[in-house]
Amino acid sequence: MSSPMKSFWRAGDRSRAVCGRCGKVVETRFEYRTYTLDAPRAEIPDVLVAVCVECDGIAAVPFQSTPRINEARKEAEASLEARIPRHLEDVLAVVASHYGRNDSEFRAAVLRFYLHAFAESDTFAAHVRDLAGDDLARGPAEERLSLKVQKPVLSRAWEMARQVGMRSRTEMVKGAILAAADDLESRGGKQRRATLANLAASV
Amino acid sequence: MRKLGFKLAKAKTIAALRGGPQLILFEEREGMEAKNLLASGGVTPEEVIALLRVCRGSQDQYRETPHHQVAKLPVHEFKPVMHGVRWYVKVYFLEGAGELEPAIFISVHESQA
Repeated sequence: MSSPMKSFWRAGDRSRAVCGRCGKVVETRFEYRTYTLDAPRAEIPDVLVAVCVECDGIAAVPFQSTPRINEARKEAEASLEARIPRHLEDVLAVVASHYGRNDSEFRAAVLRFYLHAFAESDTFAAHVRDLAGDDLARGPAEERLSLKVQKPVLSRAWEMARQVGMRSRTEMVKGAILAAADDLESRGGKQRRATLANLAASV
Repeated sequence: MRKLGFKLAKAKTIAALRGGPQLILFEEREGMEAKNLLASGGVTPEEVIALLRVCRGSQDQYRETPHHQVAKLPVHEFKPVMHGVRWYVKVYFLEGAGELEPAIFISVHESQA
């Protein structure tokens, strides 16, 4: 009886693909390489990829390598869960719309960006803490917010949160949302607005 | 650029998705996680087949455009609508003939437009 086994690529196999670096169709050779993920940042050893024989860069990734890549992606991410007042979801949506986007992907990117900014500056972190204590941050915590964040970013943000006197991750998330809204009009938010505008156009 | 046409492009893409691991490749790109959900595990080959099945050949759902780096290479852009959501599937083939060959996916995601 013939085997129904599907075919898989093996190291040493040859194929063709467009190489992004060479900007043309090139011959490729399948090799096990360390594959770099951009978000979350992670180096994954021993991933089978199609390597351009001209520039030695990665031109393509076969489907069979994706379970391994996606497993590593999950390991590099942490889940941030918070229950927030429903109106803060609206605030986040208004912020995202300001940049011409209101998809869940971009709303998550905005939050990740503010958590990162929060982790990097104690002055900004203190401002976020104050916003988290604002009346607008109050209300029944009816909305469940779940966000994937790179593990190092989340641990740095949480360390900063404790340093500036915050007591919960929920407080940190509320502050981040309100800081994003505050930045839309504040002078101090100019640089962050510019970064987010670029992010909205490119992600 | 030698065009393949909607029917053949759709049939070849479905055949590759059905054909197994050796027939599905992903172009290396930035933002692969969000822009290529087939690569990042957000959708399965079967789900992409279902999207292609509901895709029509009308101008708003299919375009054949030159590859952004290799102009002579046609790229197939399918924009099917399923459950009220428009999707974007961008794929190319190197041979372009009728035979079964690997499909190289650039994008598979919900459309922002």
